[in-house]
This record gives sequence, C-alpha cells and structure tokens, in this order.
Amino acid sequence: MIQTGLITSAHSDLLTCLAYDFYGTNIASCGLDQKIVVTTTDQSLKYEWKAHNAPITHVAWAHPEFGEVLASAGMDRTVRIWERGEEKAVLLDARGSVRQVEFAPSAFGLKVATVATDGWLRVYECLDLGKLDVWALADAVELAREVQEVQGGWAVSWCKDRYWGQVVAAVAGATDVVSIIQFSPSTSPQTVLELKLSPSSTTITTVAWAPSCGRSYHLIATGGRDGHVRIWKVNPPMLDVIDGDVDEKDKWSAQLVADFDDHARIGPLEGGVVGKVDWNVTGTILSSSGSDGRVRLWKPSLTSGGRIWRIAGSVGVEQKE
Amino acid sequence: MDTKHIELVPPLVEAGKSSDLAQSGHMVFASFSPSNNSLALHLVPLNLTGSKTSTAEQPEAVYLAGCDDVPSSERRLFIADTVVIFSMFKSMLKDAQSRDPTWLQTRQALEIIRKLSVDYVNFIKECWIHASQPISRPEPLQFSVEHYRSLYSIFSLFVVLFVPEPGYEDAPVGEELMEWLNIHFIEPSTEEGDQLSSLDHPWEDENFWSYLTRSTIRGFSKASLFFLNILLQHPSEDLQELVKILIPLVESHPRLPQFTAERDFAYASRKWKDKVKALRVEMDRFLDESYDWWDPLSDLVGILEGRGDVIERVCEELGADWKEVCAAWGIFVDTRLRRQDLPDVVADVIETMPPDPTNLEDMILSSLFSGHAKQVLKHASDFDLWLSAHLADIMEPLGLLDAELDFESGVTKRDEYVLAYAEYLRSDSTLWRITIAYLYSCGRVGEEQADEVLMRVPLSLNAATLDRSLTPSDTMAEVVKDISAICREHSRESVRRAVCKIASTMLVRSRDYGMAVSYSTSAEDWTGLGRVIDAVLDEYIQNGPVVFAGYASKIAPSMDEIQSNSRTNQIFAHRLMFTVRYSQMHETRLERDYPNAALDLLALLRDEIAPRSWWPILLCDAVEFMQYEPKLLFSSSDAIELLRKLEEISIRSSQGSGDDYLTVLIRTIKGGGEKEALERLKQVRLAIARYFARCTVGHG
Repeated sequence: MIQTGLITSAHSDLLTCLAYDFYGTNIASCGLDQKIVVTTTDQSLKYEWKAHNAPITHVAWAHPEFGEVLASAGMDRTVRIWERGEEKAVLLDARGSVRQVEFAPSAFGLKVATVATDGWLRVYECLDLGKLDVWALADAVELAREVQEVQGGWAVSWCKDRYWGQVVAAVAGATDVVSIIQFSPSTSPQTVLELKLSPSSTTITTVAWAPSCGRSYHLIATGGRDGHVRIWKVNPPMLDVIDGDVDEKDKWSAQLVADFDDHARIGPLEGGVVGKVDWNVTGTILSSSGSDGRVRLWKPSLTSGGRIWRIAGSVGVEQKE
Repeated sequence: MDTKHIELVPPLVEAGKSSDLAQSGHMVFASFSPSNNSLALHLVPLNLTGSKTSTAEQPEAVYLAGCDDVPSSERRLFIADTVVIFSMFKSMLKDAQSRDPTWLQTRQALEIIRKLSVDYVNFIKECWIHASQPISRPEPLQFSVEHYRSLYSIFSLFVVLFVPEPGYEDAPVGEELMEWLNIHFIEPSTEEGDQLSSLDHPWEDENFWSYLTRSTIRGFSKASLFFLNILLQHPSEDLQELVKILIPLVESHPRLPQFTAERDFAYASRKWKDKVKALRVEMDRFLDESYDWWDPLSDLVGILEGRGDVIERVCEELGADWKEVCAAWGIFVDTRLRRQDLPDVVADVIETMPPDPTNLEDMILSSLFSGHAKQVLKHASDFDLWLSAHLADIMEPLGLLDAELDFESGVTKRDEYVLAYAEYLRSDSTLWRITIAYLYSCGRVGEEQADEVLMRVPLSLNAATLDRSLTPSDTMAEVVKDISAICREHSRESVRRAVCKIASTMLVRSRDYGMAVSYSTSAEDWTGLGRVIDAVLDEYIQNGPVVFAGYASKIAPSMDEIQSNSRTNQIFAHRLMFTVRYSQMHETRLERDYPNAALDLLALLRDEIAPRSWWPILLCDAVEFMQYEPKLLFSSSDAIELLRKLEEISIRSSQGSGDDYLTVLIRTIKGGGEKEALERLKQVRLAIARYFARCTVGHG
C-alpha cells in the first residue's frame, strides 16, 4: 500500500461522509459544518456551499446519465437533491435524522433510498428528469422503532444488478438483522430475506451490497458494534417459476461465509466498532473501517465461491516510530 | 504473503496509540475510487451527537492511498509491449477454435504457441538487457535488473520444458536444460578461468580442480581440455599418463546435437561410456597411492561415467545446487532423459538438495522442473502478477491447467490469475485499454468487470485537450467513438448505449443539442431524446425565438434520419418534428418571409403537429401575421381554424384542464399564472375578430 496524496479540505469541521463521483474524478464531502464541498481529485475546489441547517450525515452521487446530481441527508431531517450546487428539491418526510442516502441502479430511473432514525426506509423517485425538481415518495417501509443514536445503526445498500428487480439491504435501529426488501411497482414492498446472526449479539451499523460482476451469487458485507465484519453469500431465486409453485429454489437464501473480528480489539482492549464497509466497483475488494483506528482491505479467492478470504492490506494513522 | 500496511502522514495519533482515536470519539472512514481501486480516507466522529473536536493537525484532511504501486518507468513499456503478444495469442485462439474445436492438438497450434512463448522470452530478455545498461534514465527503474533476470530464466525454462518444438516432445531434454543453465546461471566465471590460465602452474591454485570439474559438468569441453592439456606438464608422471587417456575421451564426448538420429547418439554414448569404464579400470591401479590429485580426478571420471551419487556430492562441494544436478543428470547419467522422466529425478534430488524457500525464483524453477503447474503459479503470483497471468494463459491451452469452469464463480484457474493481473493494472486508470484486453478474455466475470472499467472511462467536457484545434465536445466524441469501437469488437451493446446516454446528458447541459440528439438516437434512448427536445423547446421559453431557432437548427439534420429509422419511437419523432418545424417557422419569419411563415404556423396547428401545450404560444405568434398590413396572410377558413383552437383552450380551461394547455404560456409570462395567460389569449381573440373584419372588407 502507498499513500498517494493529501487534500486539504475546505471544511471547517469534521467530515461525516465522502463520495467519489462515477468516474472517480470528483469527490463530494459533507460534514458537521453543514457544508457540501466538491473537489477534483487533483485538489482543485469546484463548489462548496452550506447545504443543510444541521450536520450532514451522508452524500451520494447519482449516475451521470442524469447529470451532475447529488443527494444529501442531514440531521435536520431532510434529504436534499442538488445539481452543480443548486438545490433542486427538498424531501421532508423523515421524522428523525436521515442517516444515509443511496441512489438506485440507473435502470430503474432516478431513484434514491433513504433511511432515518425514525426507523423508516423511504424510496423517492424523480418525476421530471429535465428539471429534477419533482420527486414522489414511491415506497416506505417501517424497519424499526426509533432508538438513540449511540445505540443504533442505519444503513441501506442497493443490489447493483437490474436482473432481480429493485432490491435493497437495509438496517435501522438497534438490530442485528439485515432486511432484504424488494420493491415492485404493482405491490407493496416485500421482505424477501433476513440476514440474521444466531445467537444474536450486536447492532449492525453498516451494510454494503457488492457489485456481482459475473458471479452467480451476491455478497453482502456488514459491520457491527461488536467490531466484527461479516460477509454473507446471498443466492437469488431462480426466476422461472413453473406452475406458480414456489419451492426452495425460488426463494432468496443466504449463508455467512466470513466473520472477521480484527476491528474488535483496540490495542489490548475490547470494544472496537465497525463504522463502514465499502466495496470497489468490481466487487473484488472490501474495505472495512473501525474505531480501532484501522482500515482493512479484504479479497476473496476467486474460485472459492466467496468462502476463502485474505487480508490484502491495511491503513493506520499512527506516528511512525 | 506479507500484509501491506501503511501509516498515513500526517499521523492522527502517536505511535502505538490507535486507541486514542476511539477514546477521543473518532474513527477513520475509507471510500474506494471507481477509477483505480485507490482509497480516500478521512476522520469522522464516532457519534454525531455530542461529537468532540479532534486534536489532529488537519482533522478535515482527506488522505489518498493506493493498493499497488502504479506501473511506472520501464514497467509500463513492458506491460504495453507484452499485451500485444497476449492479444495476438487470444485472437488466434479464438479464430482457430471457432473453425475447429480440436485445433489445439494440432502441430500448427503448438507451433504458434511456441512462437508466441518465445516472443515473450525475447521481450523479457530485451527488457533485462535494457535495464542492465548503465545509462541515465528520466525515472529510476521500478523493478530491478535482478527481477527481469529472474523473469527471463523462469520463462525460458517454462518454454524449454513445456513448449518444446513440435515433434520433439519425446526427445531427450538434457542438452536443452544444460544450455538453459549455462545461459542463466553462469559458472564457472570467465574471470576465474582467465586468472588460472595466467598462472605458470595453475594446478597449484586451490580453485584449479573445482574450476576444471565445474567446466566439465557444464559441458565446456574447450575449457576443460585447455586445462587438461596443461596437466600434461604436471610433475606427476602417473597423472600425465591418466590425463593422456582422459583428453581424447573428453574430446570425443558424444553430444546429441552432433547426431541426426537419436538412435545413433544412443549407440555412440554407449560405446563412449565403455571407454570411460576402461579409464576407471586404469585408475584403480592407483588406489593405494596418496596423490593429492587422485580424488578430484576420480570425481571427474565419475562424472563422465555418469554416476549420480558422484555428481550430487561434487555439486554440493562446489556450492552448486539442485538445478546443476538435474541438468548434469541429462548429460551424463541418463543421456536419454525425457521431459516426462524429469519429475522423478527432481523429486529425488531435492530431497537431499532442496530449493531455497526464501527465494521465489528458485521455488518457481523447482516447481517447473517437478511439473507442478499449480505450485508454479502460486509462487509466480507472489513474485510478479505479470508472470502468473501469462504463464497461466499458455498453460491452459497446453492442457497443463484444468480448463473447467467453476460454475459458481464463473472462472477457470487461468482466469483467476489473469484477473489478478488485471486488478493490478487497474491501479492506473490510464491503462484501461490494456486492462480490458485481459479482462475480456476471462469469461463472464472478466467481461462484466471489463464493462465496469469501460463505463468508468471518464467522459468530460472539461478535460484538458492536447490538440488545441478540437473543441471539448469533439474531444469527448473521440472518447465515445473509441469506447463504442471496443464495445462493438466485444459485442457489449448495452455498455455502448449507456455511454451514449451519458454523453447525451452532458451535451444537453452544455447546450450542444445536435450532438446530444445523435447520441440519444444512437442509444435508442427515446426518453432521453425527449429530454433533449424539451431542453431545446425550453430555450424558446427562457431565451426567446431567436436563440431557440439557432439551437433548433442544430437538431434539424437529425430529423430525417430519425424519422426514417423504423426503430424510432414515434412519439419522440413527432415532438422532434414539431421542434424543428416550429424553429424553421421562426427562421422564415426572421427573414421577413411572412407569407410562408404564416403558412408554416397554420400547418403546425391544423395538422396537429404542435402539442396542445404549445397552441397558446403559436396563437400568440399568429397575432403578428394577422396584423400584417400589406396583405392577408390567412384565408377566412384558416382564421376559423385559429378560432377553433382558441375556443378549445378556453372551454377546457374553464372545465379545469388548464394545465393541459396553458403551462408553457404561463412560463413565458414572468410571474404570471393561469389568469394572466387567459388574459393574453383574450388579446388573440381580439386580433382574430379584427382579422375577420379585414377579411370581410377585403372580400367586400
């Protein structure tokens, strides 16, 4: 591993989230200072502006076929849609801080999923792709009751393929269960699978659905307050249902294929939590960030069906001796 | 394999104090860059409510880090040159297999595989030679001279053992192995030889006998004979006698290249070995004497006799390793040693003389000798991902690797190594063309990864161009053309369309509507086309007819093509037609050709080319024509048509359907609403009434 650069930020307080755009040429960051800053990767500032009336928790880029569009989520309970620094829409349904926003695969249109501390998962759709100012609440699912911020975890991650329809993995509240929810235009949202740990133990704080890039199975990574990174291998249903009979093969199923506790120990102490898990765009490397002050990279052996993993690098922030 | 770990600079905590980070309520997050697997890392608060400030120098800084060293300097040339060979190989395989699935077993196939493998070896050799030159370079070498030397020795051995000349697979391999050893692991050194030959009595030097023995093992008969002849001047007469017999033996040592038929070689070898046995008998006469030259001479003869135990012991004493023993085996012990016999010999040798486990080159070489393909690749991937990928690529068609596709993962063993190499190449997004060349050869998984890489080639209207004569949209067009060509080559139509869609969106934002229309059409993205048209129509609303006409004229050329294309969605074709013809009407009007402009306007309304939401706008435009003094531009039936449209708008609006008709007009009235729009239409009604009056007067 090698450090390749340092960008001095235009933020005046800590960042909470950072997102590369589709091409990796621009970085959008948001933070406690209520600003969104967009810089290029070679460090020139493009835009910065005050975006919310409270700390911003998350920021995400839409697919470039819709333009240079960003969504931001804030502790002011709003989700805002931006194009090149201009506010296009404000979504006001949340009754708690909005903790994460993720855009759906572009095949489904300009859609964004949000999860808030009120325990609700909401999906919005843009109805005017030219002006970007008209958004409708397409689906809403109550995942959990409201819990205190320090105890809970809120995350949502879309399945990146279009083949199985609009599916997300989501958590809200203080739970160790990841819900896999399918949205369809004609019916209400269905929970098609739950990723449950047994015995149950922790609160999941972060979820990331890997791009499958040719694999016949899915991989979903989770991080928890117990400092564990877990990887689930998820098998989607076979899609041709004959005679309308539903048998075992036609349901989503999952198995836990990896469980790493490296972030759980902070020096000699227990108590580390995993704050974020993130996949690269080909779904071949997983990064995990923990409060043990380390970021770790994990790679699967390609022919192991997702069962064999090795650590492929790590980053720390300590002074060198 | 050691885990790569770095500490970021400037640090956020003191050495060994990562726990301070959590205690102060902070954590470090990382995000992957889509373009090259690098990471952006930054500090975040552990909890958002009640977060504390950090004591770090620059708490809001974003750190960038990469997984692999980006290829630089000579390594980039190496990568760029070898992908050419790789691509040729792939296309040849693809062509051939589509013609004849059993082609791989033919002699022609093996010849081609051999030729290309030799090409790789030659490339590596050139790179090694180039790297060893003490010239000044703009950048230091990324990989050492030693690294290229190792690649050269490994790949050469691979070719010797596994890609022999077609027809010679069953031929004895000893000579080729010894040749390989002599090229890559030179012993003894010429300096030693020169130094010895400059002495008056070389045999007194402590290195004399080891030099002579080594030369003999390596088959350097000239050097051996030179020093054997010098021994004729040795004080010991007994030695002189023995050497007199030894010299012609060494001179006449049969070597395979000297013979055209293996059978003749086998015969000559047997005869020669008998003569060596005779020398041994002579030597046994001197068993009792304690000459200092006896042992080394006996060893020398033992080597010529082909005694494996002697060769092993001598090699160990000389500091030579298992490779030397194995190569010597094929020259002295078993002159007919074949490739398939080698693994057994090697297994015995390395039991007592194992390869150096800390030296990856040695581990790879011994796995090659032993014929363990998987071990070769495993060690090779630790050594250099280029090596494991390219070896695996040749091993699979040769049948050395199981070509079975693991269904679940969608990859073969070969694919696994090529994919690993491609992932390394991903560290530099500018190498994307090379990266996808490898990825598209790896089945379904490789193809989808390649699609992802292709999609992430940046399209931008801001990119700096080297060619000043090209506009930003020209530059982007070049990139799209490039990507489209690759998509066609690999049949990735969905990627091509997705890229065109993005290009169209970008061009709309920069108001290059003509090109935007072409891209939307090319992608068969009719909704996208609709958005382009709406954007052009919006130019009228925002900026008036002149600006609108200018932009719409750019999309006019596409109209014919779109309408004649049977796949076009007709709704959008229709809207495009309205946009173009409406703009043409304005152009005609701006040229003051009022009669024709009026006719155009009327046609748009009467033939229902104009959408309903634009009727009010056109009716307002009609006022100018109705007030035209010189002549009556509309007939009375035309005027009735205008009135009819106006009536429809009024009635439907009063019924609550104002939205269907009035939205565009409302947008042109700044700060107005439905009421103001209807007021405006009252003016139109008045104009029509006056026009009817004119018609009556005109007729009357």
